[in-house]
Amino acid sequence: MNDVEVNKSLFLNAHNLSRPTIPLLRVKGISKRFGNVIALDDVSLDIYDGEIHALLGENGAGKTTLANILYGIYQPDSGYIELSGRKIKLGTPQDAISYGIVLVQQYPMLIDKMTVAENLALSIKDLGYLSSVRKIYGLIREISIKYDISLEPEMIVSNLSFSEKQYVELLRALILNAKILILDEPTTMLTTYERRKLFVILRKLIDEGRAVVLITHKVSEALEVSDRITVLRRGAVVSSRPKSEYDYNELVKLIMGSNVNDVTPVKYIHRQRSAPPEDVLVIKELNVANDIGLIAVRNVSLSVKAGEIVGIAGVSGNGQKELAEAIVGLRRVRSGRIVLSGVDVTNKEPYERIKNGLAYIPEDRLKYGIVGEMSVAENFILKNYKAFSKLLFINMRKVMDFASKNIDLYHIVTRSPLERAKVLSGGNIQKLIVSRELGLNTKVVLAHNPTLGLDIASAKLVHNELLNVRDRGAGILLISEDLDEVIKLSDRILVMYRGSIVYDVSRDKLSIGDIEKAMLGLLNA
Amino acid sequence: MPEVRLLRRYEVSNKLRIATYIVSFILGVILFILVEIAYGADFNDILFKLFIKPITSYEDLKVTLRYFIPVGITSLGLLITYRAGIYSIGAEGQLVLGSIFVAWVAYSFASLEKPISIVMALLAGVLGGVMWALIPGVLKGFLNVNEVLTTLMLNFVAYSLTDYLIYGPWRSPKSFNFPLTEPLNESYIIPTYMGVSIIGIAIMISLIVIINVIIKYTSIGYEIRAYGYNPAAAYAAGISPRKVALLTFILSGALAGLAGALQLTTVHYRLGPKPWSVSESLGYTSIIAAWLSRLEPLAILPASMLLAMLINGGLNIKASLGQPEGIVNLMNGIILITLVATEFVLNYRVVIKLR
Repeated sequence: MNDVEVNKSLFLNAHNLSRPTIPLLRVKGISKRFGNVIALDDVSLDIYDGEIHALLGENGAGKTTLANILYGIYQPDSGYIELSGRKIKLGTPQDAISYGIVLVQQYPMLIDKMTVAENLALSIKDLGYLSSVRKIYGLIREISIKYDISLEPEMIVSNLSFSEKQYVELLRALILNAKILILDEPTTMLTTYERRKLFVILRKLIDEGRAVVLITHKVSEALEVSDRITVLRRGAVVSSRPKSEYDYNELVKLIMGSNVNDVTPVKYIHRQRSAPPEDVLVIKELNVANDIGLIAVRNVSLSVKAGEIVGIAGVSGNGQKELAEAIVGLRRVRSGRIVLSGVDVTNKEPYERIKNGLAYIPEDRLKYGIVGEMSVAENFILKNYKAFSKLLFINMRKVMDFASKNIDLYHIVTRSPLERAKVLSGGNIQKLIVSRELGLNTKVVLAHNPTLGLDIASAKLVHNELLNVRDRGAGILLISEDLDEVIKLSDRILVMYRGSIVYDVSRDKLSIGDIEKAMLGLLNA
Repeated sequence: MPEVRLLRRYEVSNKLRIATYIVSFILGVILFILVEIAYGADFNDILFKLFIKPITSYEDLKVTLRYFIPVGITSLGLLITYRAGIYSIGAEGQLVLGSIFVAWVAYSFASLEKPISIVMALLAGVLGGVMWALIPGVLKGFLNVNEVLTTLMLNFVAYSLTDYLIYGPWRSPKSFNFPLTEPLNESYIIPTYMGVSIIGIAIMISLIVIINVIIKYTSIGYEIRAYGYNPAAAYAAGISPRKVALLTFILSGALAGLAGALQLTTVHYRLGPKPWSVSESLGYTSIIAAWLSRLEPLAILPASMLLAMLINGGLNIKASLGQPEGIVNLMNGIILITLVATEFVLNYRVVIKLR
């Protein structure tokens, strides 16, 4: 506790000085290769205390590689790093922590069955082997109150929401006395409200004289919160200036480079139809339990018509995962019915649902979307490998042709169709899944966070494909934590809160304020 | 004091993988040799007996090849289940059941002539293995019962079944009260050429080619691989876990049963008690051969040859130094443990820092 106070005064002193000429952290000429791929190419940038420094770029631009180098996970092939004008060597994360550099991971690395305090104690070296975790309860409470983080040390991590888990990681950085906090895409899973709250905390942190490096692919976010923006493209710095010198369109151009013309603008046209179309997906009074047997989906009823997109907005952890898994057949339902194109598929195997025209764009791509150890080509036929086989033999030539065609059509970046799918970047994996799922004889699409973590170009492509398949007459159920996405795409918008549908509105009558209230359970229906 | 740290590896090159692998095998052999030296054996003598003698002297080569065939066929079957992420250790029991079925056919239809008798015997062996494998297969596929437990326990049931038969109804009246069955009729014995079962080797090699094609080029193999690498994605894509479990158990049971049939018809000719039983613990040895092949069907050939050499070498050492029966199992165990343990090296980098 005393440490915190001592350091606080130290930071205050530093902050009282005028802008130092020596940056807190200087990255000079860093390059890093993985095999034949150049991940970082002669990257130099300066990070000052008292500033939020946004690292902006598409997926695969090298942002995360740079963060991993700053945190000592990777070692650069060339170049060096200076802390307050002194060269430092970051061989391991422990080295980075000892210099006050802490990375807050995109997906929190916590032990689910332990409490918040126990998780944090793992990072504190001088706690000793035999001392009680209770020793740090006070410290945790003090920091939580100071930054308005609603966490208690006794809470079990598995009961926390995603944003709360992220706060545990943030607390860890603060307990470790980080002078430089690197946040890797911290907002991908957060709602607007949660995001704003996080930004307030980040402001507080830099006011104390710390530096924050915010890694993001969202232009709007960089403009909203940062003081300085560095744009990375294909591993190289293309621009690094104070925020005030940029505007939105310029940033988009810088990020995309020559690719900017590749992206066809999405036409979010919402069609009016005269004849009432049929329901392709009907859910009646569905109740589904979560992994520990508690009801996560409560009496949900909804229907999706052919040629319609129904969006379900909501804060993550309100039953969306369980609802999606029940529809696809990965989770049994307690009661209620699921009807696909008139066929009752309740508690049937996924195969029965696929047969009736259900396509699935999963939230967890690596777990449900691809078989990472198999080739890109083989992943293209995961759902209809039988159509490519005759008398049990798979026609590999046909598969390769099909894969090459789709790789070109969707601009999937891969060295070869025979490359293992898991080495693709997140955006390319999603393109693979989307092209596979929507290419089938699709009547119903279940898309769960389909653009989570994707860059602008990939996200637009996914949106375009969803709209195309809708225009071909498929019904789409879009479950997404990205409210903008739900509003852009949906003909009808539902809000899920604590397992129930608490709000239901067609697109011509929607009020964003009401939706956000409903998402937080503040709407008195 | 130097500080030792473990860092997770993020990328593993193929070179490192293969190198680790070879080193771990050599390490296992060295550990075994250390045990032998503790027993008073001579280092060079042990090396000679393990690696040179089993393939240079004709008498020894015959014995090596005799182990090569059942280990190759059985490990090929286990490889299929491992490819599907199903960890069967039940080949031993399936092999035993194969031999029991062959004996039953041979005693019931003693008057059959070659080649029908031989075909019948081999089919009976396959059937026995499949039946025994279907028990864990059905339990796994329909009730998701852990296959490691069921297959292991069924091995002991299979031993007991043999014991019941050789001490009870099938005990030969001419065996001087030893628990042995009557030898098979001549028509049920597969001929060897200069002491080597050419037919057995031919069967094994063709099976390796067939299984290689099934796994790599057919939709069945696709399902098995997809399910093995990522069961969740395979299930979501409509691949039936039930089908994969049944299919892989049937295939591996069939191969183990066939190996049992060949053991009885080319080597043993009669059922007997442990440790002279038909299986000779080869069902367990085959687990090591399967992992040694890195689950690559074509690599089963060198992997099972290597293990056959080691078994033969181990037996030589045992005999010449008057060591207990368990010495070959000890060697197998040591090699398996080093193989598994060095996986660690592939996942972590050890950094030693001198302060």
